Amino acid sequence: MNGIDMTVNRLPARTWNWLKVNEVRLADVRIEGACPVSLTISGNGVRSTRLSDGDAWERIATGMGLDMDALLEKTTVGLLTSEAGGGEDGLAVVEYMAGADGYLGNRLYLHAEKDSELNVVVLYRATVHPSTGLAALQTKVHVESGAKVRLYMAQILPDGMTSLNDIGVDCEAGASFELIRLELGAGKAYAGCEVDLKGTSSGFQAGIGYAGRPNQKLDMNYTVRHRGKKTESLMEVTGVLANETKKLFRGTIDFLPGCGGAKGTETEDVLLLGDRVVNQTVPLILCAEEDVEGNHGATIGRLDETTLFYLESRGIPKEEAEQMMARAKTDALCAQIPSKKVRDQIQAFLCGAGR
Amino acid sequence: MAEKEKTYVEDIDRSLYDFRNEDKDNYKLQAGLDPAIVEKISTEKNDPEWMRQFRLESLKIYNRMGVPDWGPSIDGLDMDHIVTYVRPNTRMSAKWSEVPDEIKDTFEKLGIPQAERKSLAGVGAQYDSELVYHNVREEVAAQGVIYTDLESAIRGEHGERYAQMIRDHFMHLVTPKDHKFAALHGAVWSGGSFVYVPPGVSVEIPLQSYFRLNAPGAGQFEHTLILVDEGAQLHFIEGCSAPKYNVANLHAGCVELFVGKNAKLRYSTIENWSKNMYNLNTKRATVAEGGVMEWVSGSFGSHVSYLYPMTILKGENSHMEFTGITFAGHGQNLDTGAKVVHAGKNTSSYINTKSISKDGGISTFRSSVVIGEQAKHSRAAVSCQSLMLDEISRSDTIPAMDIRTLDADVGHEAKIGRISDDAVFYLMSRGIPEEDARAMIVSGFADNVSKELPLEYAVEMNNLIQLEMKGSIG
Repeated sequence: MNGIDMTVNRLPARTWNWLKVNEVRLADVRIEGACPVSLTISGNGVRSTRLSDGDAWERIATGMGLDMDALLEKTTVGLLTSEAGGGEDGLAVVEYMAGADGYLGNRLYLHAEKDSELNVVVLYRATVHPSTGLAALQTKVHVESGAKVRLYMAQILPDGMTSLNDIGVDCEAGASFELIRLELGAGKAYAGCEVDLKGTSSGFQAGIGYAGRPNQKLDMNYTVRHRGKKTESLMEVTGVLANETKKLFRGTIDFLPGCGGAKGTETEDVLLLGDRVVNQTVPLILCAEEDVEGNHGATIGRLDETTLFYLESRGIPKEEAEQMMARAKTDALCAQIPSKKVRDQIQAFLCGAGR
Repeated sequence: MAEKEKTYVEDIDRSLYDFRNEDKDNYKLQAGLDPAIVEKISTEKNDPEWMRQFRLESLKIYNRMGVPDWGPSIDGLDMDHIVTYVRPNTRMSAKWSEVPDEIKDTFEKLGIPQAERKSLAGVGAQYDSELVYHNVREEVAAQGVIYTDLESAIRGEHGERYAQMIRDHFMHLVTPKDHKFAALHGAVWSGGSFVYVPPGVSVEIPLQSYFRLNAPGAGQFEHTLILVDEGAQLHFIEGCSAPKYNVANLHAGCVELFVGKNAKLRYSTIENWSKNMYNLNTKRATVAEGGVMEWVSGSFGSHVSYLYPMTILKGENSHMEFTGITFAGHGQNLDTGAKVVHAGKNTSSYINTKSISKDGGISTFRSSVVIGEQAKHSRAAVSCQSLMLDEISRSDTIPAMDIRTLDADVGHEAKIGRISDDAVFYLMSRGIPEEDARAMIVSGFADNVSKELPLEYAVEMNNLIQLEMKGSIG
């Protein structure tokens, strides 16, 4: 089967080409089938259906871009819906389990009806350790007025695989989308997320973690569009980079005309633990509205000397202290995932299993 | 609740800079760009052969390269309608009395001779494509400081040593392959200054070059080359302005700065081109061990600007600071910022910028901080703040960081917002009219730049801000 050439993770406003951050080009990407899925729903008010196509959801833009729509055009779509006014005590756990040498694609759509809550945990892992393969997942989320979606997502694929993990969200008035996301696995991991806060007083909050391992390539593109009045966003990104990891994080806060009263904040905290690392950060604030507040902050560096000295004075060797601080960053996010089984699988992966 | 009234800010009154002299009595090449035009410029300049070849090679590179696909549109710039060389009807002089009255009056109105008398160690004044005045104080020249026009220095008129020095440095830092307009500059450059400060010499008061573009539809392509040798110090000021025309004008100058071991260079610019100007200027510095490079930059004019002074911290323990402000008003799309490359160990940099957008103006802050694998123990900090004065303007922040060593500390912060209603209310409650209160807040916002300028230039910058804010109503 012939693959397609893709351009993904486009920076919303281009900058110097020599920086090589404007987009990623992927050649000959192909999908040969769907990844086996396990779905567990607990509590009330959440129903699962299967869609024959995703046409009605085309309007929702995603972080990786339109080429992901094209790649996954013919794949199956699983839809989870929280019924109007319900879903508060519901939890859906979706587990994708890649097998040997697969080129797999799936789409997951989440729909929170008016004033409902939808809590979803997504884990992408492999059941074997393939030397090659690709796992593509696109998650689109529609949050109706007054509704809330909490999405907890972790990707723990083995080093031999490539991950394309894409999210697109739109929020109506008073809606909110909360995301906890851990990009921990895959030799090459491409992740995107675009959130359109189109309704008045809608909000987006994200805790994003990554733990780059030796020779891993991580490429991320996050965008929040403030379209509605008094919309609020907060993106907190934390990561650790080991030897020879290449990581690029693009984070954009886009204040569109008419979003008066909007506030957006983005922070990134990167701990560098290995040499010959490539750490690229491109945090954009685009602003076409006067009455807004936009903030961005980034800190990039080693473990600070004071913390290191304190830990060493307590008898903890430097290397162990660094590993401890690195784990603390991802553990804080992992602890928020409301599924012990998934948390345990993530911890096992971080301890070396499944790579 | 009553709807809030919006601030209306009038366009700037630029009469101070907007006067123009009749476009006559000068020698112009035909508009457009081809090898014959480049050859004519070279002949006009009496270039040595290596420079003639350099120009022609640059033209080939220009023709091969595309326009940037990432910044403001430059569709309104048609090189077929740009005159690349305009020679005023005079020769360069070291006496203002020998400069033709009309041109002298221009610089008198801009305050250049007065500034020279009061507070400068030397002045170069360029009118269209040629320098019309160049002078340096005797006591500064006696220290061995060379401050002259670049062209006579290339021809060896100040000694073979300096001619060779220029050949060894000219467009080595910004090569014609850097981007399309660097190539254009390499092909048609004209005018500009050469400065050499010998080892250990500290030039106590600044040198200044002022560039005035009078001819409509013309380009100005001056080249500034400064070498500050080991342990030496210099403050160089650059100013520029032009009257407004209905046709596009182009400025594609180039500044190359070489800061020696333990030397220090401060390069200050107040850019106030007219609002039909495409300002596609390139500035770059390289800093040796223990050297310090300081940029102070105010961007007020131009229709479109691409301006990102770059510093290469090559030597260990070298340092860079960039302090800048950009004020984008009606019809302006100003894309400004800074770039720094940390190549040496223990290097440090600090980029601190402010931008203000009003009356439909677009301001973009763009930066890059690159810390290479060898730049152990380097530190970089970037701070950018943007102020939006109305809802029809735009302000974007596009920074990038590329860190390739474990031993680096990098901090970045960016803020976008508007004038605080509380601050305006407070000042009004103390009897200050709203218009003045807003201008006062904006002046305070720009304070980090003005305090870095010599007093006369800080006053000029504050006047520009006052002019920009004139007409504000609550």
